[in-house]
Amino acid sequence: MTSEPLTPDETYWDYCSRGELRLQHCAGCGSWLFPPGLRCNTCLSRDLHWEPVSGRAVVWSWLRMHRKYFTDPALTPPYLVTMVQLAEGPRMISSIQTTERDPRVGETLHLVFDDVEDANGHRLPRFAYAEANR
Amino acid sequence: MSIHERDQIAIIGVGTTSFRQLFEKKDATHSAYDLAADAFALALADAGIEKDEIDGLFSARVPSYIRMADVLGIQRPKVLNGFDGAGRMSGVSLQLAAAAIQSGLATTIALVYGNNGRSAGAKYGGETPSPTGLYDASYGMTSPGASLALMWQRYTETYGVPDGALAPLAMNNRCNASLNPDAVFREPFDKQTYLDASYIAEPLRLLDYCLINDGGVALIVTTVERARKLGGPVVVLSATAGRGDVTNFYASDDYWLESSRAVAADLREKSGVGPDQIKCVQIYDNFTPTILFSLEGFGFCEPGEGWRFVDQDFESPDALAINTSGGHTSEGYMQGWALHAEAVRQLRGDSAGKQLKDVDVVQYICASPIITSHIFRRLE
Repeated sequence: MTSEPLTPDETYWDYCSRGELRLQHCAGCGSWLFPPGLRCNTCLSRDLHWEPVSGRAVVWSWLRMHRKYFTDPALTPPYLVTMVQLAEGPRMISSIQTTERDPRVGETLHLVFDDVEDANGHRLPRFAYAEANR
Repeated sequence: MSIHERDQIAIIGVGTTSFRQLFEKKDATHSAYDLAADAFALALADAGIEKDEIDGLFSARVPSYIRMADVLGIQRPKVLNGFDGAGRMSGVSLQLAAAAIQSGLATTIALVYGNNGRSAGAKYGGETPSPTGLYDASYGMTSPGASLALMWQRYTETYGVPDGALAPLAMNNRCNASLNPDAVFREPFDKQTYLDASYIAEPLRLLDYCLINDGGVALIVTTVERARKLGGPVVVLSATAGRGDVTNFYASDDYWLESSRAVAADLREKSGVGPDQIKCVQIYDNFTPTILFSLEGFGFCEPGEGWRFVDQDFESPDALAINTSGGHTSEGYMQGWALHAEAVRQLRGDSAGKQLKDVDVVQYICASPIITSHIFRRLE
């Protein structure tokens, strides 16, 4: 019995379920790709490999959502959303695991994973202020 | 005829539904096709031509250009196409209509846009994001306004901008709309009212947001040669330029600055007109920060200075006139289309809102993942 290979999206979440943030890294040109895809958007190579990222990131920007858009109780406003820029280059939407203070653009973050799955069965990668790790 | 040759394309007719009357019919459900057809009939009357003189049709935001053509009874046009509902398509549609006329594909093209967002319950965000948007939605990220909120927060922290810096833009739009009988919202407000408005995606407040309303807009475009035979004032698309600036995220790293500057330079080259000669701009304003980014990108002020530039008395005769019919936050959200109609009317002297004196050049600007800008003129 053979099983269908995972799609790039499924592979991404599969690594997340193990507490690993891996992105596709292009063997052709060294670029990192996010969101996952089938070919490198720099050199168009299909020679992509899932590699772990460093987990270091900075705050690109953030907002506080006040309008309710989702039925998921975990997304009851107000809540913070953060766009982070990974040390490897790609930007991604995530959030910061804190209510102690607002983020600042450019400040350093490190990767943390939720322990529990969200409504879609995904363990979400999030971030924390770097000083909390010291 | 070269595509870069100036002043060869004329806008001979504009039509807009009354956004206010449609908004007041709270219980009515409107068809996007019908709204577009209303605007088309008004534009035909405005141009003073017969329907059978139309030989090209572009539709936007209606589900099917086929159905649109049939609704209008334009079954055999020389060019026929449809554009999606994104606001950036208003500028793109006019560019392609001009190119089609200049290349000889058609002579007289009608651009029709119908938006029944209010009566269809449009939400612009929520449970059905784009495929890649599922990554964002996991964190509660959704809606174009939230993307602009990300950009504006980054901008304010980068340049040390105080809260309330966008208020003059929202107030200007409303002030201009107060003169426009067809605008949805016409009651002027002060800065405190702006500050007291609830946040939607903080740092953006309700009064930074475009409306969700019903309406239609149509433009009729033809050659200048043909326009001159109609006998009225001839308003031309003197030049147009554009560029994509696309990433997976609507939020642009530099607020579209580099791309906007490239478009501005291209437009200046084609038109011979730069920001120092412009007194009136119609700026795509899905959210108020977009106006500010547009002013910086198109050289009306330096990067990082836009918030100081707009802290002005917009009623002063020396002030740059922006969104004279009320813009997307007050006149109605017609995704750039009504701004195009207003540019034409401003040059003819029959503005829907604040009519300027002696205006002979109007610029349209849309900063978005497709940046477009036009120079409109009135020929003597």
